[in-house]
Amino acid sequence: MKNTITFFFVQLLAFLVGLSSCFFLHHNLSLSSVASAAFVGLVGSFIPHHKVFETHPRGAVYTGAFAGMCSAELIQNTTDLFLISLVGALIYTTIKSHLFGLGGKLGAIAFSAVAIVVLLKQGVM
Amino acid sequence: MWVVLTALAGALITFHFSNSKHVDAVRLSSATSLLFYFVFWCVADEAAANYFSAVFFGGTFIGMSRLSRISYTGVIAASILFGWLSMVLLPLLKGVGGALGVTAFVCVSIVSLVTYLLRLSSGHTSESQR
Repeated sequence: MKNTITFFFVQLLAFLVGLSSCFFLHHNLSLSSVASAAFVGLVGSFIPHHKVFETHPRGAVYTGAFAGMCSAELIQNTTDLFLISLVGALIYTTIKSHLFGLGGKLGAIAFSAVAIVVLLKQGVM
Repeated sequence: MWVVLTALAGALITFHFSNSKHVDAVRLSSATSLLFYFVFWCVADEAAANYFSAVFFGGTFIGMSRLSRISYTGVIAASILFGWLSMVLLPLLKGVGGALGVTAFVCVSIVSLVTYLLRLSSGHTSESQR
């Protein structure tokens, strides 16, 4: 249980860093969304392999970067950034040992996190 | 046609090098997409660079699959499906983060499911022929 909680917080931090960095590069430095996400993913891929967390923090940074490709209409403030990271890290931690080796899994996590937060904000859920 | 070829290139490069050369899939996907974007940005206009690099980027997500899950033929099929689906779905999901990834995930899942069902039915056929 303790390991899962620690894993969740590490993923939350990695997701938040990926999301904020990509969003900042895309919106403040006017870099294209693809170049921003790819750059953040590339930098994140140099996070060293950890014996407990393995390469999951790299994955979480890249997942966060996908979520950071959102337009400014969807992510309006820092609360949104944090909420998306929270939901994304929660989904990542829950399904980390499932769907192994299926391409697009990280993107699907990012999309789900964004969709859940946007729907919650609009009062749909 | 060019959309499908771009997705195919992204998927096959990532799939081949991550499975046979054991290069980290995240590093491979991001590095090739970044390279593709800058090369395209230098030779074509910005709108084309943005569009085709997005398709290439989506293709690399398909290529992040493991060989134990999907074969080379499966990757080709998923990329063709992605090329078509991205033209239909992406304009609807414009500005939503993860849209490329979820489209790639849907394509890989469909191909994996069809492969599994075909394997299952061929197993049943060979068993009934015995």
